[in-house]
Amino acid sequence: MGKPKELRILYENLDVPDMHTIEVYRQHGGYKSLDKLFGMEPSDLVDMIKASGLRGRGGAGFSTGMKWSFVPKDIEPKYLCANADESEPGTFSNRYVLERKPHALIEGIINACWTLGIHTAYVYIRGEFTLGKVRLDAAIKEAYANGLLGDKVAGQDFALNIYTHAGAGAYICGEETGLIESLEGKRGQPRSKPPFPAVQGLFQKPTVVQNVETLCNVPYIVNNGVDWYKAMGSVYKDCPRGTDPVNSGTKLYCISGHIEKPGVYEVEMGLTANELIELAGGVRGGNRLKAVIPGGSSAPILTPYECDVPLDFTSLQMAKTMMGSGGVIVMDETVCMAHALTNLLDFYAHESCGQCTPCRNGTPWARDISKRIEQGLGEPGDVDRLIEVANNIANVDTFTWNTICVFGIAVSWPAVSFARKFRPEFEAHIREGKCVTLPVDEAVTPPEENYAWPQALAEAAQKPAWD
Amino acid sequence: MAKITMDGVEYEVSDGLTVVQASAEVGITVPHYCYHPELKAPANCRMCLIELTPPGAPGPIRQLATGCSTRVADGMVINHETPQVKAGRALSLEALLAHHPLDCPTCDQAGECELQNFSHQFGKGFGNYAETKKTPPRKELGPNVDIVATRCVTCTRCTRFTEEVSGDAVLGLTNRGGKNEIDIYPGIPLDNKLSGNVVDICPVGALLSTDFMYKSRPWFLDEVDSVCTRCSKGCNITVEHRDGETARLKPRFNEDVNGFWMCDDGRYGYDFVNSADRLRMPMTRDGDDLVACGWSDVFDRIAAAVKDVGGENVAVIASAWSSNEELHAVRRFATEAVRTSLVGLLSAAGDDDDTVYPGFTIEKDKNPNRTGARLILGEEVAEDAAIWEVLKRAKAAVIFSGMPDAELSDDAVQALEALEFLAVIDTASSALTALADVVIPGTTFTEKDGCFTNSQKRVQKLNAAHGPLGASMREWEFVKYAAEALGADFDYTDDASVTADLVASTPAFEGVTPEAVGERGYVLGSGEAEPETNTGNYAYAKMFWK
Repeated sequence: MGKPKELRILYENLDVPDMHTIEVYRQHGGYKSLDKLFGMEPSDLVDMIKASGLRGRGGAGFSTGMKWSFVPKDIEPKYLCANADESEPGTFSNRYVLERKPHALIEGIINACWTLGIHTAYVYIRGEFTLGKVRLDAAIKEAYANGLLGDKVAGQDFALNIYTHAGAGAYICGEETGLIESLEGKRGQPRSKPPFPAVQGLFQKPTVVQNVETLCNVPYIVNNGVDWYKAMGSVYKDCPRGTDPVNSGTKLYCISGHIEKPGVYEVEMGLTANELIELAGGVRGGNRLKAVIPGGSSAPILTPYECDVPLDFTSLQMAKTMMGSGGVIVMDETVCMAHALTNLLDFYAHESCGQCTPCRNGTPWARDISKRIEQGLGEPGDVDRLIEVANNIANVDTFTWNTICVFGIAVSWPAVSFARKFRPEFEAHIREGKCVTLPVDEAVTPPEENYAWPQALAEAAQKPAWD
Repeated sequence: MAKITMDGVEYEVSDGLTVVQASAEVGITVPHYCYHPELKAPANCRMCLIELTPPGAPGPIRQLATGCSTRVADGMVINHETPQVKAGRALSLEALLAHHPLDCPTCDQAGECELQNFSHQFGKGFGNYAETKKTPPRKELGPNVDIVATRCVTCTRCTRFTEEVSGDAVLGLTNRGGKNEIDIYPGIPLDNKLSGNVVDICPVGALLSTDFMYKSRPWFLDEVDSVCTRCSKGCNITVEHRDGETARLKPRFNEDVNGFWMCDDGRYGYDFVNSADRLRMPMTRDGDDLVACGWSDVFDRIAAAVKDVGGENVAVIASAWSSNEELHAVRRFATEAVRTSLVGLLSAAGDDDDTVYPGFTIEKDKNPNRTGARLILGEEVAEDAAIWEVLKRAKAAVIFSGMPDAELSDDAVQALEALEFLAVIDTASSALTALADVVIPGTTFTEKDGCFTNSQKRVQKLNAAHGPLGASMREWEFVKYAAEALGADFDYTDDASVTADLVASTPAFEGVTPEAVGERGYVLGSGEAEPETNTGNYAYAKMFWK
């Protein structure tokens, strides 16, 4: 790969004035996919999406086509929920779609609904996205007026209605079952799974919950075909069992923090963290890089030594972190890691729904320990205690969790990875009894001592792949 | 039946059970807080962790499953004791105890607390929590229930109870995450007739009954199985008592009658048992006063009165609060000793309609044994207001009451005042005893053995928790001696002999034996007794519902 460059597909024409109107959107090729879409059989479409290797962009990276194939065909009604509750710290790519190209989402929803035989779709929008909701509501209105929604979508014998719903400001409502509960008018608390939403979701009916970015990819695949889509991205051989080797398409990386040109960059998957930083103008002021969070605040942190990892689902999973939402947070040498972790854990302690025991009591506990360390009130053994407490919520070594939802992982992964990978800096806080920011080389645990993750990963890979 | 393997042993368990229930059925304790068989399972306490191999799977799922939300299926393999399961449970317990004040010495729940029990059995014996503990305030949720929020484990059984069973959803969680608390909406208290149940289902000492508060350590209480008297439903209960006083009533599981629940009318409606107004001695009237007397005076005066006015002019009024056995004795007393046809049935005033909650119904008839009385005294027996007409035709009367708070209409008072002689058997001073010439102390339901017949015609057993108060005797004994004074001979030696006499002489009660009645009751006319069972929720109740 030469010099890294952007490859705009979803974000194509994002900056064209009035792109949020149907007129301009159509002038730039919008809604073209519908011509092909309605000529195809839904089952062929599911196969097509499966073959394209499209993976859910919300965080877990599950094969979209596979998920769609689980949806029962004979149960009516079914629902689609577009997850626009973009609340992972460090992530802001969906927001621009909603604000500047809302018709792309509508087109994606029409594609998905035709494929799955769904006639009702909900868009769950983060409450803070005021402009995004205004623009999307206006776009939906335009789509109805232009015969693209309603009883006969684009003149076809196919009804589809889209409703928008603004969240009230809870991170956990971005979790698919938390979203469903909230959409049903209940307290936003994730459900115990199984049953999964594809079987029993919204109003106990089969429900597909997809991230905005995932849905926006679908029309391009329908339009341009599987081969075109698969040509982008990275594919691996010799992956451990249970690891999906295909990473097709582009990804919207949201790069923020101590970076010269923060923002959303649409790039082919497979670009490394270092290349992305280079693309975004490098670390601010030429400072040294101290750490990178690769996929939103829940993803385990990377040390500067690990930043040559390609930013795609497979590589990041192999590196025991995750692609997550693609929110890349860059930290330079001025950052106190104890402070950064306390900040993150404070967020999680605030956002834990409080439903299940390990998370309800464990998250504030981890936060309190981290805070004590940061304030210089830590005691010997506190780093191990912090790791233990976090691991008790969700064990990063065995990749198991005792919680109802994966929020537990979102807490323990950063906590454990910070404490293990930057242990010298945490220990320095305790030793000196005050906040200490060590130089990068001293702050990082030497790579050879760096946690037993690769081995644990190899063991996990030996487990049967079906779970 | 489903064939499953648990901890390496093959079992056959009932179909459709959760793993928690199925384990209870075979005697394995799966610790849990949030799960209750009659409520939805949110799987939030993370205590009932199991290692699960679904039928046909090559090996266990890497994630631990929850026994509350997993239903057994043929071929399922479950392990309760793997290191991962043990660690998971212990860690959940540690987290649950992190903010707990450990105030067991002053906690009413101590001794019957699942936090204590499961910590003892499944905990790791120490906790690492060294941060500041939360100290949410103690709050009054309603007239009968307080919350000591520091002890709460946020299992949400109580909120789900108000959503699913009482249906008013007055309890909910306020705040989020570690700060969440069970609370009511300001100004809308927990004040429905099922509120006491939330105290029962609270696995810890967070929800407390204001009625029982600081009354007794639970381990000092003795308990007997009994039946609630406050309506014709006949909820199965446990009477917990100490030193001759009833301390509290708790519902006892019966799938066919009350499930796990009982209403507050019944639960707190035992105050008359311990009332200071209870009668302890027989009394006779001397002018305006009732004066304590000996039993022989009582029998002499009754015999004299019957002789004076003639047996056919004496009304015998039985009570719908009496047991089948007492009613039978009273019937024989009327027909064989007094020799009268003036018989009536005194009953407490009922409601216009049943009180129906989504998960429980309180019946409108506020008498525990009207069904039994009709079967024993005959369907045509005078009831309610009609008994005052019976009394108007009589010159003397013997009235059995035993129901608390009986009120008399003007019509009734008029009829009673016109009598030449009135003997009343009651448990406490009442409107009836105020008009009586002879007052006989009676026994409450906690002081007698016998059976009630509920509205389903289910005969259910009462057991005496404590003995008759003072000089009072059980009603059948009183009847036996009163009959003797009138020259009749009832061959009663104990409670069982009265039951035997009832069954022998009343066809409707055919098949009623102590074995048939058992713990679940016997439906009259059903032919055969339901076998005692230790499956499903019965097994669950035995293990966890005490």
